Amino acid sequence: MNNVVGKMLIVMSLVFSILFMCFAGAVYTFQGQWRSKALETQKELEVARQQTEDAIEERNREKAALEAERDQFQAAAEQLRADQDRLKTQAQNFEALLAEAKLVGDKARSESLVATIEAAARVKEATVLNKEVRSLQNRNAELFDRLQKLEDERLSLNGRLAAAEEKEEEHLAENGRLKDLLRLNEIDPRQVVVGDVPPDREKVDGFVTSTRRNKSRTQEYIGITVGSDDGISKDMKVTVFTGDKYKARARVYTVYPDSAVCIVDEDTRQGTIEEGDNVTTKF
Amino acid sequence: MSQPSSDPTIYDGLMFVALAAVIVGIIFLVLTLNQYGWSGP
Repeated sequence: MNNVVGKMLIVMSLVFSILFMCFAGAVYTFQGQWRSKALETQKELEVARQQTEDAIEERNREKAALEAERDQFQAAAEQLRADQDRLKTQAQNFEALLAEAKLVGDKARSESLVATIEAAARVKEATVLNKEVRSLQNRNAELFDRLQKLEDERLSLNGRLAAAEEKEEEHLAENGRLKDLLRLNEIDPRQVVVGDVPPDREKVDGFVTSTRRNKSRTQEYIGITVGSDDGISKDMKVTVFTGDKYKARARVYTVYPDSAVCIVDEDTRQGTIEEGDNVTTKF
Repeated sequence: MSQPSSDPTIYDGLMFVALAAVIVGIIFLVLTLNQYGWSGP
């Protein structure tokens, strides 16, 4: 019996010893892989830890920057709030000023409307007054022209009067001289003249002012600048010339105080008579 | 009285084999522990 138990114990000791050896060999065989895996895992863990620390540090920096930025924004927001309040106050002031300006504008608008109406009335009045002034100005101009004409006429009459007085004095002197001459020749000046007395011709010079022919164009009429005041009488003969060129003789047809109309003697014509040609009674 | 000397049997051989297996196993464990810095007892 002891032998059987001893044998069984020996066999079991052998089996367990072999199992122990196998497990120990397995452990020795696989522990290298486990170790390398553990080291790799540790390295990865270190790297992850480092990354985590870097990330935490970065986050802290970003947090600090964000906090600083937040502080700046908060300060800016405070400033903006203060500006907003100030602008609100300003806006309220401006609104008050705007309301006041609107009131003033409405008042000015109503006043300008009234002034416009008054101005329109004044414009109408001014237009009427302008018309009246223009009419008065025209009237004044007409009166002034008329006054000028009358003044010219007066001056002309004065001139003619002076000339007539001068001529009268000359005539009186001539009359006295002729009376003296008559007395010298023992002729009574009061003796009545019997028969035709040839007219006394004096040298009178003038100019041709106009030329015109009759309808049948057989006669030519010329106007001259001398008349009865200059000693021109009807049927008097005058000579028309220009420079040293003789043109024609003419007979006085109608006499006015300061002008006369003559009929050209066609038999004596030696040229065309033109305005501005000279006229004389004797050379 | 002296015991007669008996011849070693197969079980004696198995005993030595088991001893060798235990020694080999111990060597494996020592080598394994050396990998982790084991400095001995």
